[in-house]
Amino acid sequence: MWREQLNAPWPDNENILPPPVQAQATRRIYEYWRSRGWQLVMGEIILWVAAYRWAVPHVQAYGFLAGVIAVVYLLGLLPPSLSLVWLMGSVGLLMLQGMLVNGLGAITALSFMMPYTFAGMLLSGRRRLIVQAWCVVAFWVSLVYEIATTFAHLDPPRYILVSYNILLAAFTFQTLRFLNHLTVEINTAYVAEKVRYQSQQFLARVSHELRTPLNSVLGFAKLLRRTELPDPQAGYLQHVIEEGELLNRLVSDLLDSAHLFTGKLKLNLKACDLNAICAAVIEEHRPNIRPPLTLALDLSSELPVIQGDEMRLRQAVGNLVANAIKHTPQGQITLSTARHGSSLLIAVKDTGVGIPEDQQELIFLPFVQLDHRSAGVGLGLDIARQLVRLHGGDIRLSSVPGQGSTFTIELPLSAPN
Amino acid sequence: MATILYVEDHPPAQLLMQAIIGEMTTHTLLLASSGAEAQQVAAELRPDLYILDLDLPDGDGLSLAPILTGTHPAPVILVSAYAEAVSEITLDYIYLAKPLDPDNVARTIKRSLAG
Repeated sequence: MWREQLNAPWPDNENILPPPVQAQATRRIYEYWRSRGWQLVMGEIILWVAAYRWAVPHVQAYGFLAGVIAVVYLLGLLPPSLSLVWLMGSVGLLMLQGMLVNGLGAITALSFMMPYTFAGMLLSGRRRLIVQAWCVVAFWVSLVYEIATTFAHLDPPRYILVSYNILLAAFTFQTLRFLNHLTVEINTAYVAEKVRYQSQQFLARVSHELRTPLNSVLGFAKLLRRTELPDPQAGYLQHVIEEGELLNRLVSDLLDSAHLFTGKLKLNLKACDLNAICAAVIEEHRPNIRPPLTLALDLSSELPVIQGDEMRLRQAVGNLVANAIKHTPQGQITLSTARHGSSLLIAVKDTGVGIPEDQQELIFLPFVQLDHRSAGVGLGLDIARQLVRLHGGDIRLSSVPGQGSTFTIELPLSAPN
Repeated sequence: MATILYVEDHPPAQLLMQAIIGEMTTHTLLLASSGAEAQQVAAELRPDLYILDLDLPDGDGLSLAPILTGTHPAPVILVSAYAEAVSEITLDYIYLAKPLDPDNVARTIKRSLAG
């Protein structure tokens, strides 16, 4: 709780500013301090002169403080390695001085914000926590001291004015802290989102550029296949085409993933027969099935037609079936359809290796593969789930390690928005 | 025998289309490598079918299509290496995805010219 009060909204150690950005912040702060710090020193001198001229109590203390503040100012001109000393020292001096002059107000609250903000940018972890906590403590000590000392010497009508001043100081301090945290939070989130978006756009661009030469490679290879070729050459060409198709699927997955993320992928809704989609997927994958693995189809005869993007649904089911084939060395893969209340179900059941429960959510994340020896980049399940979600449905997984997995696509009967 | 105008700025892709049309059909292929050139060819040679790449140096195939059909009406096939185009465009035009499959190209041309 105390940590929350003192420090929480700042990013933790892990997402502190990256070194080049931190170096930039340091440079800017020192530039600022070099160009404006003299104003603080001038203020101290004026205060000292005034205290001496009108014989204010504690005059020696003022003089001492003004001298120390000048030294701290000079320390501030030294390399950033001294920043902790500088920040802690300036906060302490401001607090002492606030107590001596009994002049705590909105302006003093502001002056505590300077080291507070700088610490947020220049320091990380425990060091930042210490400086910022010290700023908050110094502020409240000054405030309480102000209340305790001034109220004793004031006439009752003046209570209101001082109370107003104190409240304003407290409010200003809290607001500035909040604004500070908000700025960091918003900037961090904004930059993270922008980087994510740009990397997806980059991915889309790269995929497009990969496809352009792939078009010529595959196109000409397929034209060549139409000619009469002697045996080894025909075989070589077939390898070129098969590998080219594999590369193309990889590029398509990257592009789809990028477009799903940026929201560019739109569904082309039409009346869809899920049984026909499943039959087509099975036909497509049958050449990849070799004993001791078998592929079975179990279609429901009472399946209504739904509104969906046939190509995308076929892609989602195809990804699940391809995934099952990859992880089922022997046994059976069953693709079945069913109606369950107001949803339609497409289930891909295998007798493969299975997925431990703690990893069942993980495997839907992009670029995650539990078995690093398997082919592909780990986008199939992520794309399948996102495509199904675009249709207003979802994919559920139930699995027992060693016995197999069942991925179930659940689609609503009503059309997605 | 029909005349087909293919608008594409990438020379190997032009060569591929030339080879597909030359070997698998009896049609004549005209080439243009920009939208401006395509408009000129369309006005002069009045092709029976347009095949447009989505990514052109002076615009995109999608906005070029109505300009060309306005100059000289003919069916349109769009070609692109962008996957998202599939879902967005099939509603209005026939769409072919790169990498092109020669059989599919020949089939689609036949279908477009017949329709």
